[in-house]
Amino acid sequence: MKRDEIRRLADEELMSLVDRKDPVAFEALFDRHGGAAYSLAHRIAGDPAAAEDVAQEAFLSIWRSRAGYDRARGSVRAWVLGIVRNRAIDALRRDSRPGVAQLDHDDEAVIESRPAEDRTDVEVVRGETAREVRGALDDLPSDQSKVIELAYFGGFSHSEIAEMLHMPLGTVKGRMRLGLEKMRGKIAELR
Amino acid sequence: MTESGDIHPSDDLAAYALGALEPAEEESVRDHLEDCERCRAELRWLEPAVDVLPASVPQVEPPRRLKRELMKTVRADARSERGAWWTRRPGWITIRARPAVAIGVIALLVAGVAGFLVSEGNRATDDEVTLAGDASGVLERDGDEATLRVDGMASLKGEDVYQLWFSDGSDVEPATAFTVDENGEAEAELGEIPSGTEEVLVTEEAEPGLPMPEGEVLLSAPLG
Repeated sequence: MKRDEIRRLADEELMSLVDRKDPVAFEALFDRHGGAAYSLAHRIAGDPAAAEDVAQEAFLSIWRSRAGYDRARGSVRAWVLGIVRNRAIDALRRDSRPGVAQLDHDDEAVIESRPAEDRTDVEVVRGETAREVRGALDDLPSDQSKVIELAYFGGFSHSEIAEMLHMPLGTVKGRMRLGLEKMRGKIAELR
Repeated sequence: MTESGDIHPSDDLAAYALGALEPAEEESVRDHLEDCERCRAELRWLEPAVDVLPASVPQVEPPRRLKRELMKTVRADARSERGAWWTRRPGWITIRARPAVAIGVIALLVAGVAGFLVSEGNRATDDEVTLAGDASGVLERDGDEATLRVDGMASLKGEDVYQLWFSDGSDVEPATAFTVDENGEAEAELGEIPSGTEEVLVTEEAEPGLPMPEGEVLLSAPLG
């Protein structure tokens, strides 16, 4: 298959070629998602050098783990970014918070934790701008957006957040849930 | 309650989706989800809100080095799986690098740009500029970047291209590809030369950007 043809393939088809060790398909995958992956790693890790290490580790793990992606488990983009997020959090904990227990992230968990139905809404939102998604997050009451950001971008567990913010664990859980439900409502409006 | 009598961990599902449960809690929720369609449906509904969170971060351009280093490893892996192709074939002769004074780039040298001869075939010597097959060229290097100018190159068949490669002596990675005009002339910007590059090579290929060369090496330019 010619390079141009490979570059026009859907993500899921690219992953089939990546599993068969096709460097052109891998390059196309990186070109599509490398920017978002690096940006996410940069947001979590906080500096360019760490972000580069995280993104490199994540993409090499994708290249080297055969059949790691299961199309029944969601979009390739969400899978890639899930791997990046887990690796960035692990790096953050390793480098910045050595005393904090590891949450034992592994790439397989990204797959296992996801239900096996399609994720149509995510694919719709994929085309939206970062500004719109950021706006949805900013529209949340600050006590809700704060716990979500601490969990997702900071890698803190709900108990750690409760301790940090001096609030009961149940309150943290409730705010996470309310915040995600509102975000979910916004996504539905973007459809 | 599920069929097995467990309480639905509804309050934990958001934290689960955010990856914010402690390991033991996470395992417990995962076990519950295996048997509980109601919680799976609830999680399915919540998860898209988590999946869009990466889109909320400021988008930062990754350094070019990231892709370059990744692709270097990826190509090396692919080659080791397929068997080494990169063995020197008879007839490839490279010549010693020297400033390209003889072909009139002395002004560039004065300006601080180094030039290197490009050789073709096996007749080239240090003093020759026009090489076997009447092809000649110069690789002008400016710091980490370089431009190749060639003339006298053969016309290409169909959609074939001339492909440039960076070689570190044991490994290659593709650079830009180019075609030539009716006089066999072309100018190709190589962009940034990866560290460790020992030679720039030219092959003829059926399409640009292949992960590894399939055609014969036609030209080589050692970088001193």
